[in-house]
Amino acid sequence: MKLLIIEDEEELAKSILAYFRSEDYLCELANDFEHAKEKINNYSYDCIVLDINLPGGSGLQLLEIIKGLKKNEGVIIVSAKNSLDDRINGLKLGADDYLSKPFHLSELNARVQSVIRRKKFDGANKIQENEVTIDMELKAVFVKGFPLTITKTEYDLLVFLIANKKKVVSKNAMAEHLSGDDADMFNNYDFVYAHIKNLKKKLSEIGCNDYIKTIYGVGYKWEA
Amino acid sequence: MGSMKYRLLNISMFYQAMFSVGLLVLSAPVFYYSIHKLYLEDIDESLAIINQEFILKQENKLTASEISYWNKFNRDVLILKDEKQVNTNEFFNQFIFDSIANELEPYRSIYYPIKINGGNYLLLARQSLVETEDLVKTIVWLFVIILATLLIGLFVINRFVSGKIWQPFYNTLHIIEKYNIENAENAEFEKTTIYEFNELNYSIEQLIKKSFQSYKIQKEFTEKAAHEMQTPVAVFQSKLDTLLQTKDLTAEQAEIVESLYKVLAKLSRLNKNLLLLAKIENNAFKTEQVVNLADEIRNILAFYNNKNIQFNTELQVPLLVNAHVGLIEILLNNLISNAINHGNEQTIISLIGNQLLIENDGTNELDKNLLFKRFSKISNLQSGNGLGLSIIKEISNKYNWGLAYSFENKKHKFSIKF
Repeated sequence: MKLLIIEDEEELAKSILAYFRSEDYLCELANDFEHAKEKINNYSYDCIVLDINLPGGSGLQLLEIIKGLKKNEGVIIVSAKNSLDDRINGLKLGADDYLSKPFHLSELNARVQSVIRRKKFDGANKIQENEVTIDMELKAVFVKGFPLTITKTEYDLLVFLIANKKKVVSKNAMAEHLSGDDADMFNNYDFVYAHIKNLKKKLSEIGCNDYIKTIYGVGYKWEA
Repeated sequence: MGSMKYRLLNISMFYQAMFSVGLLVLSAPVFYYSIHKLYLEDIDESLAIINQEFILKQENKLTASEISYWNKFNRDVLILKDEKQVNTNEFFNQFIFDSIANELEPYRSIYYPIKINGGNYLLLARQSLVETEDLVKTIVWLFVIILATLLIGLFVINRFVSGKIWQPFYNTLHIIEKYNIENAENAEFEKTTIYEFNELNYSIEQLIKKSFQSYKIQKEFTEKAAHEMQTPVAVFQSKLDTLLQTKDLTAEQAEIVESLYKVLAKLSRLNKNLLLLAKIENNAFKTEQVVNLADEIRNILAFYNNKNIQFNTELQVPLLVNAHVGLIEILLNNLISNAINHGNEQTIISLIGNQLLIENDGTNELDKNLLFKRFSKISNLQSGNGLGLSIIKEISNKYNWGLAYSFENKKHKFSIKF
């Protein structure tokens, strides 16, 4: 999988690159408008992570260029602007997703995977992870072929953890993943704990191995 | 003036009335006595002339035997024997019985010493004051009536003219009352022909312009500051995410990372809320769509499926509102998460008619004055940042929804009429 990260903030770009490279992605970085334009024109990517505010131009202009090239590239806008209307406008212009800063790397990773999956396998959108099968279209989970009855929240957490497998996902990231960007939910670490507990119980009842590991109370890791 | 409020016009009228009545009350007797005095002087003069005339024309011709004859035909100029111990050459007032009118009548009199045939006599000259008294009274009455009419007339004209003159002032006041800095940049005043009011209007216009500028700068500052903070927070968070992936993370390190995450989540939330408030104020959420409230609530409740929440809805027709769907989500989320986080027992959500009611248990009533103010920490709960309710208020205001809070039977009740 080939990613292009268009981000001018050096330290943030470093973190993103480090996270994705350890996930066996091929990652390239463009830190200003001109470099980004050059890369977009000359190479193909599976997904582009696009910052809106760039030195030398706007990310939205780049988005128009990408869409003009008619390559089947997924685009995720990453912006500090954080406005609901900006998101709608970005998506209208053809972006596949929108993430406002600050975001968790695990969240970005999950979104990137989701975009790539949608682009590559439209229709048969399934995740196979050992004995666990997730049908993204039906939003259904099967363990060794048996359907698993779980709530929407538990489903979301499961997909999120599997998307970030072998990585420690903080409770904070999970809480934000569940509650969304602008929701004002406090105290939601307890919710995460409760939901994970239920999810683990249901998985073990159906005969699934215990892949969800607790990491010192700071987060969880799907370890297959 | 105490705590009572008076109209400017009424105050000036009050003082005018006080002055007018005072003037009337004081001037009437002064006028009366002045006129009266003038008349007495007049009469005194005519009595003196009678005396001079008598001395000139009669004193030498008259004989002692003719005195009784004189007195018979003269009513008011009498010759008396000088046997009375009286003061001569001095005017005095006296009452004399009038047998025709059958009452005592006022007279002005004077004794003059005269000599008839070498004998000492007194000449009594007198004049009735009845007619002059009537005349004086009539004049004073006329005066009072004219003065009173004049004052009443002035009063009425003043009232009418003042009302007209002050009209631009009331117009200005009305415009200021209606002015809302959040909606309008400038207030427009009508031009008036009165210099002072034009000056006033101009000053107010300038004041409003300056206030609006400050308001705008302040709003922009909040938004920009919050924006600028997003990137460093994002870097911070990404570094924590990276740190968390370290191979040999110890429990001690994990604990530090977790507390940093918590602080960061607060900072990030605070920043997002500030941005959101600034954006609502800057009217950034213009798109509207029809939202089914019951559906939105159910979506949110799905997240809390293991919490003690009761959702009552008795709707014949679904409650639909026209609003920005993102703001509706935020509004409902804030209200519901507030109730869940602050209550220990069941949270009750009711959607009845056009009203949403959210109840949770509590011990004390919250301060209504502080409740919706920004950063007013009304509860001891650590998690809140003091903006959640402000955002609810701001969104309700935007769409003119009636947001209310009450505390009954140990329950906090927040309601919104859509």
